Amino acid sequence: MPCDTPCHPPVSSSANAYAGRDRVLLYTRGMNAAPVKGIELALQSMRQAGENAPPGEVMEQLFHILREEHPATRLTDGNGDPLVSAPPMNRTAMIAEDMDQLSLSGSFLRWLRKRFTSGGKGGRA
Amino acid sequence: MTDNGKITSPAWISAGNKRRSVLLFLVIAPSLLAASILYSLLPKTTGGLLNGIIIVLFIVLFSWISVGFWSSVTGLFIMLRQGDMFRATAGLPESCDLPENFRTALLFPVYNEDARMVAEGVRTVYASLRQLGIEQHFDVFILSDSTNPESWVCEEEAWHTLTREENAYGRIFYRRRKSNLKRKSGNIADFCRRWGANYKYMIVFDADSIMSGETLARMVQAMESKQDIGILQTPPKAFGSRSLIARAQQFANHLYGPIFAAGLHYWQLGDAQYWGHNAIIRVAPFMDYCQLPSLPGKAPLGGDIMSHDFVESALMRRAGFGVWLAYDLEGSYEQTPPTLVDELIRDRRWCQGNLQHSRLVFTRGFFPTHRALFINGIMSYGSALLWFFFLLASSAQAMAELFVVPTYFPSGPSLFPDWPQYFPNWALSLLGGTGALLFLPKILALTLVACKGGSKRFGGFAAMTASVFGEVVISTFLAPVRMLFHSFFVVTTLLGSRSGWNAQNRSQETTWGDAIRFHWWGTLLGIAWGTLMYLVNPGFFLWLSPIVIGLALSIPLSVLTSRVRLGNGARLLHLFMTPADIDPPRELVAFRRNVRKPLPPCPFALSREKGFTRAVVIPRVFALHLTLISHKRRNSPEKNARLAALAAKALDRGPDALDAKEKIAILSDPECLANLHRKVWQLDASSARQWGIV
Repeated sequence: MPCDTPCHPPVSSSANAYAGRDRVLLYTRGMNAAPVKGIELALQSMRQAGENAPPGEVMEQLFHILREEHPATRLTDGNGDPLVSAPPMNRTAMIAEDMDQLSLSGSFLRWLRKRFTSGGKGGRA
Repeated sequence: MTDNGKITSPAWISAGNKRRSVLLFLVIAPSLLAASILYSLLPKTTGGLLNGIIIVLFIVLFSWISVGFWSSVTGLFIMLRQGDMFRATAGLPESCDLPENFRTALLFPVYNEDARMVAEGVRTVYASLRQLGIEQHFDVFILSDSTNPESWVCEEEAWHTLTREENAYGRIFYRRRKSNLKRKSGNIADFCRRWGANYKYMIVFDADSIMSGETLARMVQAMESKQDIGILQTPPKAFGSRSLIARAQQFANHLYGPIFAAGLHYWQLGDAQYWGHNAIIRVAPFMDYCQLPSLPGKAPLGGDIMSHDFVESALMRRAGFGVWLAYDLEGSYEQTPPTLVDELIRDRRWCQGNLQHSRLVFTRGFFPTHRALFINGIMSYGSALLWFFFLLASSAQAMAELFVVPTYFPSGPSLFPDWPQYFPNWALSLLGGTGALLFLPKILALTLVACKGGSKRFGGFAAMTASVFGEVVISTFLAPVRMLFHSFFVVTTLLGSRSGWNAQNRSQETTWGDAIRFHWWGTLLGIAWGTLMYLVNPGFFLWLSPIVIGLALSIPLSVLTSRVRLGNGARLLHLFMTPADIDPPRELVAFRRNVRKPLPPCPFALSREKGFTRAVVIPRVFALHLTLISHKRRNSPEKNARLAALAAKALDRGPDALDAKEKIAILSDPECLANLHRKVWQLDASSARQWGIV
């Protein structure tokens, strides 16, 4: 949005303060926090870190606040239940099939036998 | 439970035996006739051994192409008769209603794929089910075997976005295996062991395949109506092709594919093959009878079975359940490799898998048809080597002819001299016969579509005819390149070289550098072979010219056919148009729309592909990842020290300093990841920049 009034250079704020503000606001945006909540968190952490605190200290305060407010970091699904990516397990086993080989001559003899004893209508079923 | 569904009605079994006996006759008799003609054309002066080799190779190759020809011819008759009496989808109800007492699992195995494309494919399928109001009968599983840490995080993000946007929590699931033992078959088996008991059927997709809700419902209905079907395979149609080669293949798949699939069904009936995806499987017998063992010995011919699908269908049939191809089921789609190089890389893997089946041909209990299908699979690549030998033997014959002096007066009593004879009409007949086997199926498909009034769906009759011509030209020039590479793959596999497992490229073009690296030796061989033949026997050079010219031009052919620009140009000329282009099904339209949908803006300077960095930096991605991996064991002090060292390395030198294994180690440990996350956000501005925090 264009600035209607001239933007004056801010007074009594160091580069650290701006960097801290930007960093903490970026974090709250990355959290997908609600807009007002995000600004409140940023303000609270900046106040607790003190004026002109470097970004690292502001972030330290933010993590402290978040730990107090949300001790568990697990996300929830649309119904407020803990988010899970897979259903409960219903374990069963799968046993590898036998793949023993017939000898070439054995296969041929078996095929001949089947051919002449059952009229060629081979089939296990 | 599983034994109840076994095959009880042998009607199709005896029909299948009769049909296959007819096929055997149709293949063998003309091959022997053609071989006798060829024998009469070969010079008798150059030695019986060389002639014998040529004749044997010719019989095998002629038989091989005859199978495809007769499949197409029978497929044509089935299409004209509006179906086969034994088709798996006969007698299905009009509606898509499904029984309430079970659910079907839709499985999407993925391996280092583009997560967004996979998610949009899943979204498309799920939306299609919801439109029919039958989504409650299906659960979707994205089963990841990804080893790339970036892909892992991208998949988690894509899954979460998808489930949130579709409100499909508890319906669309995501699971990543830590160890991708036995590759795709192991991935599916892992699903079966964990959740298979919850489902009566599972429908296996490929990472890039799509099926319509109606098709899924029909597949379940078919399985319900015929309890002796173990696997029902659909014939997937190609879609989304953009490069010239992929568009030509997509066109071929749409025009020739249906009659070929119908022909396959005619011969195979319930002894068909499973192609690994776009198929429905009865879970209980699959779990009871289709778990693959490792073959004795080492790879490439031993170890894990690579082409698992053919073996699983043979095992299912051995267990007494039918494997059917639902040739008439529409609404099943897949994507094709975009370039020749990608196709050949995929073929390298398939070649090894098929040659491995040589170990299984004589497995106890397999049905003769499946043994024949194993041989058929081996011949898919072995035929290339045989063709190569045939051409070499023919070239040797042509050279020998010049150096061997004919004997006009053989020893022994004779009234007349023995003049060498040449029968040009026979040669032309043989050439014509071989050409008919190769090209007549294409003309038959063209005629069938034209007669049924379907030309408009392929861009009009003139465009369709021109497209067939264009496809024949492209496939003719690429055939020798494929032959050479397939021969190379067969030889190297037999010598013990194994192929890796790489994610498929689905969009890139081939650069000139890559083409030169890939095709230089084929080009040199083509030039040398052609030059030699031209100098020694110019008459034979003319016969050989399609082969050597294709090889000599393999570099530009590979590059140009990979170009999307040329694919688009062909499209502007209405070439290689398919029904999927002209009147795209609802699902493909939805998929394209989903893929083009812009992503929400992200405040971080991190691309979607930087999965590891996103998990470390972006709070919601970090929280999602922690949520999904939260179950962990307590680490040993040594492991903690190693992880701390990795985190320190990352903090000091940035995320790019870590290799894939190191990134996986950090991503797998919630505590280490959480520490790294906090420390990265506390870095000074210059260090934070390399993590995308600006």
